[in-house]
Amino acid sequence: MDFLNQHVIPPTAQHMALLEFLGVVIYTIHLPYIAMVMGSTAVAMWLTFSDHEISNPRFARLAGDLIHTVLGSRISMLVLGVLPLFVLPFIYGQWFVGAPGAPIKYIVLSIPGVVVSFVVLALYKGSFAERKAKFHLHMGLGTLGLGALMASYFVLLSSVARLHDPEKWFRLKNLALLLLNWNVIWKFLFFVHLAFAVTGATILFFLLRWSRERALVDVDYAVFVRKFGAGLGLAFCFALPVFYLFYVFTSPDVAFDSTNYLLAAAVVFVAMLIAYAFFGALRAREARFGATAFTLFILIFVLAGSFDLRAMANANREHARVIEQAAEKERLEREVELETAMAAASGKNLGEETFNKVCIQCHRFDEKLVGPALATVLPKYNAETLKAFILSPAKVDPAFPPMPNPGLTPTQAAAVAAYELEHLASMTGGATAPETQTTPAEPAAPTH
Amino acid sequence: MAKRIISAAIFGYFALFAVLVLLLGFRWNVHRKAPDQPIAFSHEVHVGKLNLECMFCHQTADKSTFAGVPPVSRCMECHVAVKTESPEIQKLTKYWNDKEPIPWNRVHRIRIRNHVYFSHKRHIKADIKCEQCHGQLAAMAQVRQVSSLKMGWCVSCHEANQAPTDCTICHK
Repeated sequence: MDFLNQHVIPPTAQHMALLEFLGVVIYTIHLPYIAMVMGSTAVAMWLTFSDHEISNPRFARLAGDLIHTVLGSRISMLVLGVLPLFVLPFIYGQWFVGAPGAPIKYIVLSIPGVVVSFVVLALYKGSFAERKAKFHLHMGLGTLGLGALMASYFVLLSSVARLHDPEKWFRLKNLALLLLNWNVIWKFLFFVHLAFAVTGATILFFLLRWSRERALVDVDYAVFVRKFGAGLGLAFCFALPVFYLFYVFTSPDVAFDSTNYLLAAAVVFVAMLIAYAFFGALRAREARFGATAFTLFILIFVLAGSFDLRAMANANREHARVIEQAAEKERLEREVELETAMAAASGKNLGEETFNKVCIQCHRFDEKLVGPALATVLPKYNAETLKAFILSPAKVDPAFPPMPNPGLTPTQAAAVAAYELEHLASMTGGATAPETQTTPAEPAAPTH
Repeated sequence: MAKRIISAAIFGYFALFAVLVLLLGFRWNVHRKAPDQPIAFSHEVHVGKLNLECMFCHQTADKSTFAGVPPVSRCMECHVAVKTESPEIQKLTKYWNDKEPIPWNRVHRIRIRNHVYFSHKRHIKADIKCEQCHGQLAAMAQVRQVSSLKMGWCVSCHEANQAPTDCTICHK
């Protein structure tokens, strides 16, 4: 990460906005896929187990359809499931550069778990044909893959949620302390129930709507699939607002602004629309509402992802500002270098320009203002010591407020120091001594 | 009829949660938002850009239990001449001319005050940096409460720094 940081740091405000956009895109594509995989595997395992116990061929058929649709190809596992995960640590690494204790290492920790779970799930899918002969192997692979996936996402979602709570970062010394927190537990429970509800929509959309011809061949099976999908989705939909409310309630105050609450209310509202779609699908005589429910689920992921990103940005807005300031400072330094080169080329004096723009707010050569008259204090300095003082001012004379850092670059400071000393020399070289023009109340030994 | 009842039940159930979420938002907006201030004083400018020390304005932080809100005279030491054309500074000057204190709105408050005693002086003596509790003030245009100031938060920091955790240390 340090290697990367050296090349793109400090990131500018536009860079950060781009990262935020990338984050939303990843959450919109990756998380629905993971939810589908998680829910479908669990449902398929339950159906296979039920078929094994009571021998219902429709259960086995639905389990097979579900596994082959959702765990379809290794390419989709790689592109939708694994690759986006490798981008996340880079996004968060850029966001939290120089923030000690941000729990990003746990995001990285979850990646191997996800890779392993996808490998095991591919084997699980492969063993479906032999489920009768090797029932325990098949179910074992499913349990292992699903367990690894759920554990990895518990860690991943928890570390992302903990980014909203910078106050507690220094306490997150190990994984147990990361996970033992009501906020992350509610978030994970919301995600798991969302996964089952999405699976309901997946069944309606992909098994009935997408491949309508296949389903229509067997009308009884189509009715079973429709009722199973809609019933599953509707049941888990009712759990969503409960867990989301608890998640919002336990999120730290620093993570909020008014928009967060509107986004959270929108999540609940869209969940209601989905419940209506499932209810409609349950009552309809044919395959309907599958596409509506599935599209609305994507919307829930966008809304919930935006809530999380906004919460993170709110909780860490000062850190983002510090990074932005570093980028601004670097840009200004480059501009000053350019200006210096141009001034040198055109014969203008950078020191005089800077003095008239910055220093003149508080200082005159022959008059006491906020700071002392320069003519009284400059004789103490040479070009080097004056430059050092301008770059890092300190309180010298108790009669004046301490000089704040004027924020000049070393080039500007050197130019101002040279200009001030030069101007003083030209003044003292004239007929009037500078001391006679300063106020008599000035201390005898000029300081500052 | 059954369809209508179920539809109404679904609406009622989800609407209840939507209202609860919005009520949470209302509570946050009333109690936890960064309060508006009579003058748009920016710590970002004074601490971030000008590098003023905290104790330059909050003079009693290392001498008293309270950090102290700076007197208007402290502001006027510089602003008698600096940025006098700004409308915010003109507001400040008006308070100065009228000899009135600025009615700042309080940002940090321990909400459940069961005889809690807190001393800024002790914490500064123990070399706790201001931003550890008050956040990155150098980047705050408007100050907000960053730390929860709840007991668990105090205790975990006391434990981390081997500070005493007896009840009577804070509860007098």
